[in-house]
Amino acid sequence: MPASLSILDMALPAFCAGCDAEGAALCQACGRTLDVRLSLPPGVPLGLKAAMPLPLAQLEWCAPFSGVVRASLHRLKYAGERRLAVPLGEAMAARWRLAGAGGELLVPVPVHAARARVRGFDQAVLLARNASRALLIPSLVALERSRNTAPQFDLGRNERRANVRGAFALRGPTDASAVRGRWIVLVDDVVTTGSTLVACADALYEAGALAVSALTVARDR
Amino acid sequence: MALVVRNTSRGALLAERLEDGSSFWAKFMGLMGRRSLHEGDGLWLPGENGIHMLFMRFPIDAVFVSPPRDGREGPRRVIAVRHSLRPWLGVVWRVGGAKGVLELPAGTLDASGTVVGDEIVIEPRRT
Repeated sequence: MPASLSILDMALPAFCAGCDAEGAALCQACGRTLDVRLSLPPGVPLGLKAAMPLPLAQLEWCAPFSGVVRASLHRLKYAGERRLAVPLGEAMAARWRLAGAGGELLVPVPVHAARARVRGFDQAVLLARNASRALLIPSLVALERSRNTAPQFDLGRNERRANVRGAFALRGPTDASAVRGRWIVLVDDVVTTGSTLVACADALYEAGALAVSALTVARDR
Repeated sequence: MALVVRNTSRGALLAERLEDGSSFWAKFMGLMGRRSLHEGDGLWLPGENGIHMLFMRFPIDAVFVSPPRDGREGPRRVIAVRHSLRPWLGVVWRVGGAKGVLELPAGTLDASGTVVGDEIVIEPRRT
């Protein structure tokens, strides 16, 4: 943990996103909710809508989007509790270590620059950075959201797809050459229908990526 | 000991005369006060994850790398790059997860096509 954060911890201690106990941003007991899928075999269980969004080689996540996990992601995104990115990123790394195949580069699903500016950070970038540290797979902010899309949460399936289609692009030529011929793992906080991940995967394949998998903290259904 | 560093992902030699900066003094001094870095030269700062450009006279490219995958000389991954850091002004406070920095003449990154995710190998020079 960087020194700046340890000092911040002393002045402004974290409260657990699950139970509000003072100490860690996510206490050990509540953190266990992130491990519910840890030992499950890789792959999407039968019966889920859209078992596998097509261009993705693999989709893995840590836990359903509910309870403590939902509270943690909300607190990270909307209350700016960046310390949560550490346990959440590590949980993603743990799941990927057990269930993931391959992966040479983690690429976060970016928010639009305007939203990152308002929020002060991009949660997927923080998650990817922490997962990267735990997995020893480099992370690179290779994509940008070229269009400021409407938030997906109150859209239906088809609207979601139309909303994000073509919304992502490689940031520049060096990012494109970092992606070319590589097995990319997209990183995001929540996956619902996978439309956003698919739109990102399309942009990456177009830039010559060998394969694109995806890893998220939670899955909403 | 003279070292060489190659980018095995791009099949490119990044430096053929890589100085080993593992001693405290070498890390403290770095490239400060030197007049230049020639093509093929470089400085390896193992274990470091941040650099500054104070007291520098020329721009450099910097490559931040992960710990070696196996053993002390195993391949490492490039986790961040900085192009042409400027004398006095350039600074990289900290790259999370980095366990070593390569300082190379400005332009080396572009010439070799080195990008994040590439694999590099640092090894003793065979003469």
